Amino acid sequence: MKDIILEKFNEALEQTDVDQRFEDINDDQVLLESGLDSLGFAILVALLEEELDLDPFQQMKDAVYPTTFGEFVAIYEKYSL
Amino acid sequence: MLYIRLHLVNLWRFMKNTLYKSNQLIDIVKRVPLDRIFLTTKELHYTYNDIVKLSNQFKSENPSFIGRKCAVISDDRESLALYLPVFDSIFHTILLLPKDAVEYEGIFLKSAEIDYLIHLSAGLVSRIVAVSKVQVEHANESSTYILATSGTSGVPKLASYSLDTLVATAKSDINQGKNFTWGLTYDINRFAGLQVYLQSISSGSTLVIPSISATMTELITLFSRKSVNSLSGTPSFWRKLLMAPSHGALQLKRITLGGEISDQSVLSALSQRYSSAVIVHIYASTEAGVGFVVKDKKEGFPVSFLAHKPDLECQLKITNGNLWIKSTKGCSKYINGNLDIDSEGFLNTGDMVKIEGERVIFLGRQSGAINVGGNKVMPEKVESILEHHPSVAMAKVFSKTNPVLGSIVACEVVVEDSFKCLSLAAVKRDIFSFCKLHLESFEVPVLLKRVDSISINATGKKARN
Repeated sequence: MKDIILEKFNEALEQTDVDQRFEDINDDQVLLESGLDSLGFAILVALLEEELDLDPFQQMKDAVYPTTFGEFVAIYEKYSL
Repeated sequence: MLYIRLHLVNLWRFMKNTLYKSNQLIDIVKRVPLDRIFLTTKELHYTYNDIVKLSNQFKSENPSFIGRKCAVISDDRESLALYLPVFDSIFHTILLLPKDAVEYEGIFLKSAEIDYLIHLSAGLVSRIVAVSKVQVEHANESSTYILATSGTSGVPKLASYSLDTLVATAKSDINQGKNFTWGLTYDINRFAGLQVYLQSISSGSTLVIPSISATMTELITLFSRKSVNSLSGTPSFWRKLLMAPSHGALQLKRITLGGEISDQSVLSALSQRYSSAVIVHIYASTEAGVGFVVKDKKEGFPVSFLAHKPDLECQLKITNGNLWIKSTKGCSKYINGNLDIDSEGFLNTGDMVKIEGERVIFLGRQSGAINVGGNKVMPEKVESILEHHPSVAMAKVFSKTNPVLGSIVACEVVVEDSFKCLSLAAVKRDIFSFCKLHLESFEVPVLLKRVDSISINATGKKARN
């Protein structure tokens, strides 16, 4: 899951014209300081839905907004089961 | 006797604090204890007294402006916040020019019969230009404000309001108001921002204005340092705030959402995180003004709001799946267009709704406009750009629900035969690069699907859902 997210993360960076690319991202990386802006995260979630046919944020009973990369990955792992 | 006197004093206080009607913003400013902080930025602060002094000085230096009409364009939010009561005290009409509508400036100035164009920068009046040859002094009634609608296509419309209408829903208890500090997340020259600004002044509160370029972390740091406890923003703003690790530093008493559809996820997340805050989502638009407020932390609004109650300031009805509104707080007129009003006085909001049980739920815009985090995107405009690309024979653009920005732009394209040998990834990359040259970033499609055909309806238009 982390690999797919990483790939789509880099794709979202490319789509928002950010030069930075990640080979790996630490779990404690703060999302808002990762180079993606709100539009970038919207793109990331849309690309992941296209790839995985999954939007965990639509399925959540209690809405959670992740603050770090680790939390973001954990949400996708939890809802892909 | 003592009882009666006390009663009269209380009644006078009550009227002063809650029933105050004013013709000018500066009158509202003067009700507030003058040493109270009016606005503060990261570096500066101004008291209510500073505004009164600024107003007196400007008035004495520019007596010829009395009763005239001005348009204001500001480089930053704080300059406009500082000078609005000043201009309101002397000009009859103030047109708030958005910075992103420079191409329409000439049309706006002409249609609103503006006499002076005022530029503000870094807390100062940087330039005043006389733009009309014949100037007429207008009667001193309640100040008039003109706002540009966030246009989806063509020239944005100009909506005119009286100050009385704009402050009609604002709380005006200045004793209570000292306990509230508002953070500004919008531009003041847009309806939502002007509402926050006027609310802060009406109750004698302090307004904290971050720099336009501030990151979310910087904004939270400033709001937290300045003890902001009341905040109004779009659902997309709130989602972004909740993604910032430092959001817990804010001690919020009042949370307002508006400008986009507030979905249950963001309402639930906010009520969990800020459990003691009053959370409301507001239905408002530049045309309809503040329509109604939903306080139960649930998306949509109760069907009971549709009940016909002639004494209400705001009445609602659903006709052909669209929400129509009749409000005493809407704009008085369009300067350069007609409002879509029916024979009963209801205005077509252009918002499509459906009834689900006891709730009315918003579905999107009748026009097909896509609201990407508060920015409106017209599908036809994006389709036209896509269809200019050599590989695209036909394109259809539509909205896709998104948990971060509410909606994003998605498209289907029919690829020209000569390009069908290319991979989808290559087609996508090329089309997106082309779109970025001709569209704003939020207008560029996020998702692209290659299809064999796009259906056309009986009238020859692309079938839209």
